[in-house]
Amino acid sequence: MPTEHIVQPGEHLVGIAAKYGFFNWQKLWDDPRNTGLRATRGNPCVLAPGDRLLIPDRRPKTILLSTGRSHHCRVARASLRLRLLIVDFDGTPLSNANGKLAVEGTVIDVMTDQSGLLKQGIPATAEDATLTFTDPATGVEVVLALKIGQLDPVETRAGQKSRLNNLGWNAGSVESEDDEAFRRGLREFQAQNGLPVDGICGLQTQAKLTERYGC
Amino acid sequence: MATTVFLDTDQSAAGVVGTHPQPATMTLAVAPTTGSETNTIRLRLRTVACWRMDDARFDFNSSFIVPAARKEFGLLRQIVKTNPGCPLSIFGHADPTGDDSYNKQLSGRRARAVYAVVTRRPDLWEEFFINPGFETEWGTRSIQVMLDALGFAPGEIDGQIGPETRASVRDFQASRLGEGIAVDGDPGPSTRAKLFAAYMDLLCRADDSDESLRLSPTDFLGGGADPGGKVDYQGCSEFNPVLVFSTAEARAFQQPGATKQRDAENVPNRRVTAFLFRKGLKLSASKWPCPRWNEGVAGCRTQFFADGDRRRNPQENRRQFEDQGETFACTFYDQLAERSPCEGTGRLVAFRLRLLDAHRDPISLAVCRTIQGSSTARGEADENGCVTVVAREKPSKLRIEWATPDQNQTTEFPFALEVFVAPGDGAQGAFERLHNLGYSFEPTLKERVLAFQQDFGRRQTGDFKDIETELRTWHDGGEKPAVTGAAA
Repeated sequence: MPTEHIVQPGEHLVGIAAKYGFFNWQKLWDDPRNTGLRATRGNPCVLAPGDRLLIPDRRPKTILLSTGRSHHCRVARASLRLRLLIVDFDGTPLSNANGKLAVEGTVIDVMTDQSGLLKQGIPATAEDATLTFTDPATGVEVVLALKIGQLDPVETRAGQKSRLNNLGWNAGSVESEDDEAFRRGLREFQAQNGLPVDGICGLQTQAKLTERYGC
Repeated sequence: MATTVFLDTDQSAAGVVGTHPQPATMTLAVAPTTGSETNTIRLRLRTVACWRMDDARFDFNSSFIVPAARKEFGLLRQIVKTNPGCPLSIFGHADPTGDDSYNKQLSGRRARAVYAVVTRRPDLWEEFFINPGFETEWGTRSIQVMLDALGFAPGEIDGQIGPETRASVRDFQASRLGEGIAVDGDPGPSTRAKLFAAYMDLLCRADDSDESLRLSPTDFLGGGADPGGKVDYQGCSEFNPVLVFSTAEARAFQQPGATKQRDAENVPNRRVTAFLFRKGLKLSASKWPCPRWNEGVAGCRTQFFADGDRRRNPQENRRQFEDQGETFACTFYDQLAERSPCEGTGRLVAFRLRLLDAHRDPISLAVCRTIQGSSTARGEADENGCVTVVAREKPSKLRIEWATPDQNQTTEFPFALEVFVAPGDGAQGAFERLHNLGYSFEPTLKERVLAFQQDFGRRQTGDFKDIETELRTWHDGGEKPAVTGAAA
């Protein structure tokens, strides 16, 4: 019997798939019963709490093999990555910064490239990570605590706030009911991006927010 | 020359330092990806501590720093000592009087003047001296103030090079401080260089120890790399006030005769602040949005909030940064001042007292002394007999003693009164106003009202409501009632 899974805060498809024993998250995403979700969300890594996901039954795969010989089986495991584009307060990229990413008990040496981009494979079940790096231009150490998977879709207020905050526009905390801080931060974002400054995050603003943020 | 009275509180009457509470580590919600989606993270520029020096330590409308600023430089020495390796940037601010460009120049000059003191750059002061622009206080007067502060008695500080001043210059030139310059009584460029340097040393020296505040260009955020001081110091013009009047107040201040009151109320906005940044931080000019100290305001405006002008201009209600926030027009300064005790607390309030003689007429240029507990402060009223008093908070009562300018100041002040600083409405307000106006011996309100009515030929009713309006006009506005009827 297929199971319905209701997305919890911090969950993304790859993590959910792993929890249900699926190495290949694509199987869930492409399932025809999840077409609606696919159409609404678009990005399997950015789901909203409350989204409904149908988990198909796991069917053991049968492969015919001849005895007496050894066989290699490659498991199609989708890789999950964390991609962070780090820019300084004035918008210039933090190029070639060395740092350490601590995730699920492991500490990995990482580095941003010339464009300020940091790419790192992470376990499907990773929820928290801490990134520490030294800005080569200024010599100052920066520590970022990351909640992987907590980014909600841009259609949601929480998702809009998170993107604005990460982009350096103070939009207040996601938990807070405070509308004022959100509208202030949003207006500044709109002003800086040539949008009508109305404090309303409509489709045009959402599109620009996604473009500027990266997802 | 009218001088403001500063009620001395805590460490300094005209400045404050503080450490910024640091926010917890930034927690960011990010999305992982199986494709090429990215999370863009823009870092914030963080400040760790701040310093503020108030307008009182400059001559009015000037970048010349007065001797009393020793106290505030002492505070700066303190905060620098407790934050080793944390680089500074200095910001000058002007009040909204005058246009943006004028205020950009004045605020920039003040920031530069402070920078010059702590890095010992007499040459920067020399530039102000020979090119004062719209400033009136550089010149002979500033030389006299400096000689006086250093102990070289120039005689009266009147802006004239008389024989006493020349003698004092000669004494300075002949002293250890004037080593290597000709003793000719002429305060020319080489003498000024030594004089400025000695005065800067004086401003930075501790009262009770050998400690001296002395910074090098590398102690600043830009490292002194830019010859125009970019990143190290700048003026914000009037764009970042901490106090914004209501539209009604602003309108009232535009009335003729309200200038002095407006200037007094604007005291909190005229200030120089300095922020200390995270240890080891260095920023290049290309990363810094602020224009240089002597450049125009265009660069400032690119950093404005979308509603920047609305934030810094009067709205329906009076607003203060520490209560309502949102008074700064500049997003960059707003970011730096976030959580700053120097902008959020330690506010000064200013109020004015009009000093009257035995006939209840204002005493032009009265000298006065305020007494609060064991501390006293001196000041001088202006031509209208009004003296500005600045304090951390408005006291409800203030004891003040005063005298006419010609009376010998070593004798007791002939006039003394415990003044009600902010009389309100109704009977109590009338009582307090009458008290302030010298009707302070009669024990009851009725008797005081009768005394007033007798003096001014009014019908003797003893009812305060009959005189309430003209009492306010006199006490609050300075217009003495006309004498009518039998007493005329």
